[in-house]
Amino acid sequence: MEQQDKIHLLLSLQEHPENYTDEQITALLADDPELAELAEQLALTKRAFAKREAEHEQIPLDDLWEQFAEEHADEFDTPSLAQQPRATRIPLFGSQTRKIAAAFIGVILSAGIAFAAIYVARNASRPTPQTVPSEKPLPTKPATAHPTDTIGSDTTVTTQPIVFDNVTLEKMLPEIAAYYQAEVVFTNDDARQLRFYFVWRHEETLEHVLNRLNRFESINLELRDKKIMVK
Amino acid sequence: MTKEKFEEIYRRHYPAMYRLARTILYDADDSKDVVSEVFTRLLRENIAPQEDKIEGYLMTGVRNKCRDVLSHKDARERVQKLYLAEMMPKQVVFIPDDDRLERLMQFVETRLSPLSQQIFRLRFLEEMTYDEVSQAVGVSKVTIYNHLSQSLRQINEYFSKETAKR
Repeated sequence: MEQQDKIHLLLSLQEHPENYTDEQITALLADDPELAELAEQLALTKRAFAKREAEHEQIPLDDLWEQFAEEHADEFDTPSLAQQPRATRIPLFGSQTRKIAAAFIGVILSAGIAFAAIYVARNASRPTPQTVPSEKPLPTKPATAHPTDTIGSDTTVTTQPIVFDNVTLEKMLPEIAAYYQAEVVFTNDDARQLRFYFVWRHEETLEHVLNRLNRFESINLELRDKKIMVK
Repeated sequence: MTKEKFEEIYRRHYPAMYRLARTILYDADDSKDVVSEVFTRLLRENIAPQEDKIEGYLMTGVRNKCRDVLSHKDARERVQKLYLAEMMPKQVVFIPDDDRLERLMQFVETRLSPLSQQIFRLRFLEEMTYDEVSQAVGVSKVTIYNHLSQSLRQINEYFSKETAKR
């Protein structure tokens, strides 16, 4: 096929993709590297145009932020420290002891509520850590030990969290897996090159780490007897 | 993270994140959604990234999210909207750098006639039909086609030279 014919074919594919099945388009591009290259060059040019357009676009930051803040209003942390000094000043107000007492109760109540709110928020945002990591062997513990003795976090030394910044899954996952004496099996090779920003703490259980990783939409991990399957 | 702290991060990084998404997904609303999702994830992160890592976190988040959006499109939509094949999961991950796009745009602006550029923009960016472009520009459909075809040939030549240089 001459170059002119390829250009013609590409333009017609682009204009009327409904005339082809998905398989036909995929096959056409796979069978003809030059056609695929042409398509890529056209796409890259569209991208260059889009980039130029976006650079000149006005972004209504105020509106966008307002909308975002409204949608996530209950997810921000309360600046708890800033409120404390105000509470101590309140008793100075009233001269009557009763008033002071009433104010005090009020302070205690609102402080209690605020504390409860913070507590609830913290707990909600942080999944409760598993007390007994299943992959750590426990046979050394005597059977008569009190339940409190088996809490892992008391006995393990807490280490600094590891920050993976823009690291491929191929590099990051085996490193994490090794710590838990697990193995990584990539059944999906495309996933190897995915890059992530991820913070990992040693005290987390492997299940917890995998759960958090699975929240990235592009990956799907499954644990099968000490093997992490990447799908 | 407190609201004040988050607002600062949001305002500082939003424009670059949005522009990156726009360059990949083209659609303004899709791009806003992606940026919003990445910010939401940051907000829900148990341990916030360190100050100097936040930009990387956010930009990588946008790239991955865009890849994810594109991976759900079928081949027909990809060729119609001209999504870049490099963004497809089957391809090796490679993000064209800003310089490369900038040089390409300089070539387009200096070597393609203003009419050719306008037709390219209306047809591929505004997604007008040949009929609509023809009416907007005031030339026949055949002329529209010839301009697009000629532009593609020139772009192809540009890339051949670029590759030869390396």
